[in-house]
Amino acid sequence: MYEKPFEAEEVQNYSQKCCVALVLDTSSSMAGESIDQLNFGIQSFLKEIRADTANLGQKLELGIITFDTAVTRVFEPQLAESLKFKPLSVNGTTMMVDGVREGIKMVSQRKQWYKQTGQTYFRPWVIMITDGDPDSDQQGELPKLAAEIRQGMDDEDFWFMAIGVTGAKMATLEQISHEKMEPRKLAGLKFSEFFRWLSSTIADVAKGQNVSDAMKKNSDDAWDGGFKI
Amino acid sequence: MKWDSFQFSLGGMLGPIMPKCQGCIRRQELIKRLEQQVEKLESEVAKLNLLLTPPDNPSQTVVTIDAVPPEAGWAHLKASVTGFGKASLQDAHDLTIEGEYAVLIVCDGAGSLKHSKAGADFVVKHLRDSFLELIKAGEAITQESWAERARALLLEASQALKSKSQSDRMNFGDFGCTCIVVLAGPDFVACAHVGDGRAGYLDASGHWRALMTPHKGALANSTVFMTMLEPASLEQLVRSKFVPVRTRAVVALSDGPEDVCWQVSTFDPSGQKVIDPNQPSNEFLGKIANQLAGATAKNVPQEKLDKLWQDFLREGTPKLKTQVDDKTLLLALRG
Repeated sequence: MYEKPFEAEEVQNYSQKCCVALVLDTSSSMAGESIDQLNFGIQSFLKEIRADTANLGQKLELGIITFDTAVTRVFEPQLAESLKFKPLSVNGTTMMVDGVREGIKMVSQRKQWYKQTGQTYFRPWVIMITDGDPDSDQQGELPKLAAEIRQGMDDEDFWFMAIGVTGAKMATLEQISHEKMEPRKLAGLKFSEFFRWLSSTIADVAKGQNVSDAMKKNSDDAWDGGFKI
Repeated sequence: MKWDSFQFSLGGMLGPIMPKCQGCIRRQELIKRLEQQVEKLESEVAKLNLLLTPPDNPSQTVVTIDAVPPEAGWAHLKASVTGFGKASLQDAHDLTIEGEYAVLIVCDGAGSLKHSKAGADFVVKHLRDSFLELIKAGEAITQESWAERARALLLEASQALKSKSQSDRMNFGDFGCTCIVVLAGPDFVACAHVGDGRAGYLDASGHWRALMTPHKGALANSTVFMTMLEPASLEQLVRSKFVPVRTRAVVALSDGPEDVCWQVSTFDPSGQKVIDPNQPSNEFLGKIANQLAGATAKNVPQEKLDKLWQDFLREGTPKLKTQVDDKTLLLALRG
């Protein structure tokens, strides 16, 4: 009986890119265990990406924005495998609206760059993590921000996901989120579990799986606090 | 003059020349330090380039393909397998041999559409029947007639699918799928397609050549579908190619395995852009064609070959193992 398997060496190709902007709350309320766990979670996330056998480190471009009394682009989008992360520190208030807008701007600029350089890409993600509510002078901007996010999601420009840590005003996150990607509440301070889920989900998306299937496939029991209004 | 060459030019007669001036010594040390720094920086730059610069697409070497006995006709491999972690297959294919002709059809149902597999199955069957009829009718297929004939047959398949979806009271758009048809005859090879995937043939010099340029948007996995065909958009959506040569081998595949056997994405340093060279791999396809020729010489039954081919598409290489897109690859080698 003929049993010789076929074999051939695969071609090396340039990887399609998937950009993720992490928009992180670094206001004073995140001081202590919260910021420590967030920093640890991001470091674990980077380690998992680098260890991914399907070469996720060459596909995922990660940008990090923090918002407190100011909005800062801490890391411009870059291949996750070469990002040299420095732990974040906390300071001041919660300029959440400006932070999210900066995240949207960041992925939009990156998309332009992909187009200019002829690279194909997966729809980018903006992921916002907060334990609070926007500063009072930003509250009036929430309806406009919600409309911008709705438009971006409907036009398939980006995915927006809001994660609330204990203390976050979930009604605000619900207000700005699209029904295709409802806000989620982090159970305790399980940032590492969240980032492990994110890395598996993005890995599947970067292999071509559609986002809702990838999100369903990867169990979120370990970190999802089960928020529902 | 550089210090080293000064030493070298006099060294033979006088032995090593050592500088006596303290200023010279300091400058020499400074130069050495700077040279070391430059070397370190160059090494860092090289490492970064390695990360940023994608693999080259070197001119390919020809892989000689062993002969298949003429009595074997067209030896072939065909399989569609589900992508990693996917519950059901959305690709469909057919490979039919009719005398001197080989017809390869690949349809890839759109992942997000609920009846895309039914659409892919329908289009494959409809087109197989249409092209077989065309061959059996003995109609001359020429450079002049191919584009128009192929467009008409693809539109007909799309319209038949539309009628069926309407009679079943279903949304026609939910049946979206791509489609590639490759027809190899006694003295030509032709291709028509809607959407993505790849197709190619083996030329007389032993190089594999692309037969189509896929429809691709900037967003990964975006393309056009058979359900979008209308008489007005036909020229734009059905791309075709006719090559008046007798080819020894043809290949057609969905986009799932393209990253493995085709150069589809590389960096063009001159334009500082990532480009799609759309270059089939001589190495990959030649190796597979040779294994097919070897198995044919040993009279391995077609079912066994297709089973082995299915196994290969499922997990024959690291990328195939983890590819979540469905994978279809058809290859025919003329005896």
